[in-house]
Amino acid sequence: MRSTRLGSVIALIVLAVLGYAGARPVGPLPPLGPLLDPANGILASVHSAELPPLSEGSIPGLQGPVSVTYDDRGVPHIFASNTDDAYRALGYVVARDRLFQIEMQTRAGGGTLTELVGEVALPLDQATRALGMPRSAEGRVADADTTTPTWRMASAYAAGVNAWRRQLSRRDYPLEYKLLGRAPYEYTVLEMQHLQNRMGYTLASSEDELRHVRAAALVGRAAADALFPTHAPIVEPLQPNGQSAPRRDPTVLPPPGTPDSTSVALLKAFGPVNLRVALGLPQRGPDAVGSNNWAVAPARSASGHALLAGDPHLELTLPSIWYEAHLVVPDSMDVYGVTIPGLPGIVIGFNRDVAWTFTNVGADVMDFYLETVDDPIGPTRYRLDGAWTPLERRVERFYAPDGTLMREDTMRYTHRGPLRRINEQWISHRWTVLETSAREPEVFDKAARARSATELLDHMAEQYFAPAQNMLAADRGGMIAVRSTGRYPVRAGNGRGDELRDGSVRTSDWIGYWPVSDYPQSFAPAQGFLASANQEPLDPKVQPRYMGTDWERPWRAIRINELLRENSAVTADDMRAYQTNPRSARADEFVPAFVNAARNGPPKPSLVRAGQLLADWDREYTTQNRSAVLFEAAMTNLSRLLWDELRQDDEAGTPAGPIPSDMMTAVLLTQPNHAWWNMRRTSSVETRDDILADALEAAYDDVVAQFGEPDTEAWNWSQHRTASINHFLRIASLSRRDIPMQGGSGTLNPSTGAGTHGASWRMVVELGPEIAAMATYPGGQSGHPASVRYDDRLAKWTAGQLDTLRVPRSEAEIPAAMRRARLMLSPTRN
Amino acid sequence: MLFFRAIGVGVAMVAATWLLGWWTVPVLAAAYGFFRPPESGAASEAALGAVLGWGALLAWNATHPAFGRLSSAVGGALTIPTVVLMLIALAFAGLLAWAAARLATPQRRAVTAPRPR
Repeated sequence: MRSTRLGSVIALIVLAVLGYAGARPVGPLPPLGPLLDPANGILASVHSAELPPLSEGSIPGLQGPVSVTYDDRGVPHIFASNTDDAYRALGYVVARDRLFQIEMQTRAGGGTLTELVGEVALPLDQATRALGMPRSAEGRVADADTTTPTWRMASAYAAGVNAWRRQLSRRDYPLEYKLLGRAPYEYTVLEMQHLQNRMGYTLASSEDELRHVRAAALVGRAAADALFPTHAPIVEPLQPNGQSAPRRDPTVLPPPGTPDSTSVALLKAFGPVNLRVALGLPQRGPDAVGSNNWAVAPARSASGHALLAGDPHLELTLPSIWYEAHLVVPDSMDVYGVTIPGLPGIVIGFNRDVAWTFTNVGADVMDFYLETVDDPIGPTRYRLDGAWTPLERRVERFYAPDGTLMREDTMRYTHRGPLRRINEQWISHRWTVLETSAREPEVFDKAARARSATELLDHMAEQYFAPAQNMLAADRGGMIAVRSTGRYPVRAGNGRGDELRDGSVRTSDWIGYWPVSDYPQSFAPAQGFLASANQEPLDPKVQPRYMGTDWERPWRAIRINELLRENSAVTADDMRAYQTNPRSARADEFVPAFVNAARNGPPKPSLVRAGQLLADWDREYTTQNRSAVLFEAAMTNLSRLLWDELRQDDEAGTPAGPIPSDMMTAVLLTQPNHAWWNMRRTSSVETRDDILADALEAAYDDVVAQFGEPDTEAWNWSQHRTASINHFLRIASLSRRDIPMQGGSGTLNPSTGAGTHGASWRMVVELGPEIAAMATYPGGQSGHPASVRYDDRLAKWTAGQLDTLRVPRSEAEIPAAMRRARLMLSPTRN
Repeated sequence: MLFFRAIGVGVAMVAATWLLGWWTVPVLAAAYGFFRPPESGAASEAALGAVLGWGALLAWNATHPAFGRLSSAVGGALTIPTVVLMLIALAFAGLLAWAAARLATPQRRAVTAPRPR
């Protein structure tokens, strides 16, 4: 009797514990029941890994049947009878492969990630809300005209996404939902606006407004201005300037001066803060977003047709930021390219007449204002032209996955944008991304239908707002053209946006936007090619007005132009090979200086050996080369020794200043006895060659100490720079890390320290009588980690190879052997 | 007989889990424990049935060509080998079924016992 009772007690405990753990999350674990369930749980996901050969689906509002054929690369070719149906089907097929990604990205833009992944995302969500992104998205949707083609297109796409979501059983939920114990959410037009903002955030650029202040607090205003100039001293602009080589503008660098007292005082008020870090904007090192694009006119191509290469670099993720698709609507649209999961339209691609691609402009489209408020803790008004003006208040609420309220933040807004307290100061900001129109999807719809490069760029100039992009296009008529498209603010006064502006007066406000005629642009250039690589787009001698300061160093632009200048019969395969060309214009700039300094320096064994290694190097960042590691170490040392005046001043307690780019170091190479070469803390007077020799010798000793002698494999570049493609949830087994890559700093396939950024979509299009195109991206079409299509493109991407794209005009043009699957979509029956 | 009855329970577990979800395991087991005669070993049969049923479903998953890829993805995500995950799933089902059936059996006795007059 006692044992029976004991058994019942044990059974009760077991049932209670397992029942609770089965139904409710415990700690970081999702509810165990749905997770372990072999029919519907995580291991049952195996059955949805691949597309069934033939399937059917339905979407509300579809006006006719839509046929989707997936080719052997997993690309859906959508054949619809009208455009709205094509976008409905696009939403459906993208959701079919990338549903979790859609939700993750749109929640990131809406600041509601906590509702999906919990408290871990709270800082990111707070930053997103503090930037004013959700408020701007909601405002756009509230103000949207629901009769516009954009609204129709966006609604159609959302209907497609939701049609896929609604017909899913729990068994078919993407794996990530099962790991998190969640279900997919309803997708609306608002989510698209969030995603659009998120893209603006990803590409947010411009240097910190306090950069000058931090430098001036250490070396004076004149030196700070010269070290961080408005215009690049090495000029290889996007808009051709008639030069046949990069131009070096004479640059006078004042010697390090005494600290600027105003800057010191301002810095004390802010502390060692970077405004962009404080606001949670993305921080990237050089080369992180190293996008390239270029086009060759028929006169310089081997085939006599225009050629276009696109190579946008972004954060590398699995699944990829891009999804490849082809939309065909007879007599209306036939467009192929990549779309961002969650946004309707082909963003980069081509139709039967035109191909187009983008690089980020990097213009300054975000300004910060120092505001005067009525209460330093909880202000309700701000000072404007001598009067107190009410602040708009908005309460931001953050919810946990179970719907409970986690936190409330009160946000304040001036007429310019969000207001934030940073240390003791109240700062507001204005940003073009927050003022984007809700009509952006329509821009890409029009691009898809453009018949010429000029028509496409004119549509873009008229309607596209932000983030500003260098839009490059080429057409079958032989036109190549580029225009840096977006909105660029016009500011009163000196017009500069790289300084903290006085918020108490309206004269600090933007007073309009640049006219399109002033945008950097070129149509059918005489030189027969165009190239952009995030460099300063305009030659300051042509257009000196302020556009920004955060231009990428010119090395990639120099290299592309070098390659295109020396080849007057470019082939599509040349274009492909250029995308991963390992030669570095940066190494071309600095290696001779190091070698010269080593030859003329003291005969120390390390220096002599290091100089010989660099002299023998072909300056190519191939995976097997053993000199790049030495060169990079020498460059790091050079920066440390040369800019010692910008390091922390321990006596005054002034924090370290920003470090100028190696473009400024290149400028100083021509001035061997400049005061900047002299080191502050030594009694002797150093010159250029002293510093170069010291940097190289120390680099050699450091690398030998760490990796052994130069003939060992540990010196191979592949041991030092790899790509790491992380899953959205940063789960190692769903990521692909430590992929050896060809390329390095300043090459066309630049690598960052962490390897988390890189080529997100490589495309080459030849615009002959019939379009011929090649492309790939890192990852695969499927977001399902068990699918062979999850990462099937990685090997070719790593090797710099591209796939030939299939661009059928009709289903019949897809050979049976190249059909992976078919999907028939029909209207939902009521 | 125990084995055959367990197979029967297992088939029912497969169908119910497939159609309705994991929570049907304790519900079915409780029903089984309630309706089986007392002293018949219903709890053991239910537990064995649940293990067999879920085991069959897991085996079906494991025969899929993509299971190797799923296994490494899931194993890495949960930081346990997939085989351990499968054993945990079997233990989860078996224990749930045993406990539910074990608790339901006395209820049957309570309901069917002659009431004192």
